[in-house]
Amino acid sequence: MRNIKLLIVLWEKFWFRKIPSVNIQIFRLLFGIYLFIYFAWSFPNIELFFSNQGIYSTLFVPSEIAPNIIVAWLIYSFTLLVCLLYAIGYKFRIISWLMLFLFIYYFVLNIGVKACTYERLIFIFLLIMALSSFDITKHKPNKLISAWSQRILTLYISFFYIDTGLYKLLIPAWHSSLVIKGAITGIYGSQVGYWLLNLGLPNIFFDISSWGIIIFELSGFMFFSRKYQKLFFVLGFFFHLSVGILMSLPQFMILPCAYILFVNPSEVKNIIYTILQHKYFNFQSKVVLQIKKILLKI
Amino acid sequence: MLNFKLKRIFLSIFILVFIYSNLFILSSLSLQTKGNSKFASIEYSLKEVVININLKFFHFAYSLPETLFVLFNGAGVFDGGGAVNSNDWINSEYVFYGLFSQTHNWKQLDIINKYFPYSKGEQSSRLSLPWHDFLGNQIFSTESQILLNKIQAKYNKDTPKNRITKLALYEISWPYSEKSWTERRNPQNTTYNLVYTN
Repeated sequence: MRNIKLLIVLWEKFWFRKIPSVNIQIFRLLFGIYLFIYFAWSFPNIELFFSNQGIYSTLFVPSEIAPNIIVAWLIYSFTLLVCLLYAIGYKFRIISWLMLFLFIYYFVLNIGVKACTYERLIFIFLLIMALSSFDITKHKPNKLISAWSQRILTLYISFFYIDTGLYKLLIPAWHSSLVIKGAITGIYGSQVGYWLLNLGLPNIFFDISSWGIIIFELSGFMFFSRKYQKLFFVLGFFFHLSVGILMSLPQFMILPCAYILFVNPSEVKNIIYTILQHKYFNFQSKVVLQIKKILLKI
Repeated sequence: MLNFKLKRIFLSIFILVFIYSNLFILSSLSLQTKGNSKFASIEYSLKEVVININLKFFHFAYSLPETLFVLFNGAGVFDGGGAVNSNDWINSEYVFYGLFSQTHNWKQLDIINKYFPYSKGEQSSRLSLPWHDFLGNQIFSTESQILLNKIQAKYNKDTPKNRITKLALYEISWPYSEKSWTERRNPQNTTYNLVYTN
């Protein structure tokens, strides 16, 4: 009985202790901007993607769910607005759930059909943020929140990297340059991928890249290391940037947006203050003052 | 107070499910990539994924609902299709063919980039309907018909003088090349496979 009580205390202490909200609020800001760009990408094709005059494949819901063009535009415009409100944390308890429901709406309407990993990441991030919205209430300086959301997000990201790394380690084709060459020139490949492959670089370059990716991903828990995390942030950023350029999959930049969750809160605050003291923030423009106000509230 | 306790219990269950799902995926990767072995096997169904451990004096099984398995299983991409060299690879694309009402001839329609303005990879992924395929033949068949009917209706609306009465999706394939996407694409080594028609 005493052991169970001790276990409960430890569980409580690990998941529900109070921590500064600065990391999760910066993540919310970056994630909101990411969602805005993610949805804004569809702007030239709203009628085609999301209205009953378009071509879409629904998932789990009837095919007739798509609204007429005007309603599709209204929902879409509202979604972009919600993304911005999400980013600034306005009425977050309502907006976070609204964002989740809007994403589910688009997912079943025409997004989910392609079964892409990054959309599952978006869903999980949105779900955790919505559940944690009960903690992230009003903006107050040095506000403390329950640790569980930040811990579960960081743990999930580490697991995600380790899973993908282990998968690659178990596939023999990943042990040479084979898959990496195929990936950048395959169905998801880009012109830049072909350009890189035809530069005449030695095979060892692609072999090292392939093993580099496996080692980087298998080291998913190194994001927690205060000593090495900055190195892993840089590696991760350039890895996902190269996936965006070489494989036309910029959507995976969602992961670098979440790296801030691994950083020590006091370090995050120092970064914010350093940015705010930069000369670009020194002139008295109304917009800059407003941004300063929002950031200082965090 | 009760509300606070309920919230904690709910969140604790959520955290446990989350961790268990991640650990399940991690433990399934070897079976997903290497297949079943003497000591462990994996069984997939529409309801759940089960891992059976068969050691000499120790047998047990653990499972995860299929929805959670799909949600958390982010690893399985770009595996090279089991190839040992790039000669085994093929490049493939989808094309639409329409049966014209006036001429009664099938003709390739240049609509794929207009109606599916996505990257090549996303176009291919969308048209192969992977989720519907996963959910079973009936669902895949129904959705492919609905999709083709939508495309046909839009085509006939856009080109009322050149109406089509039937539509077919073909997958065309040709050998892979490191030089460019279409370098080895010529009539001799290009094959056509019907994917679905309405």
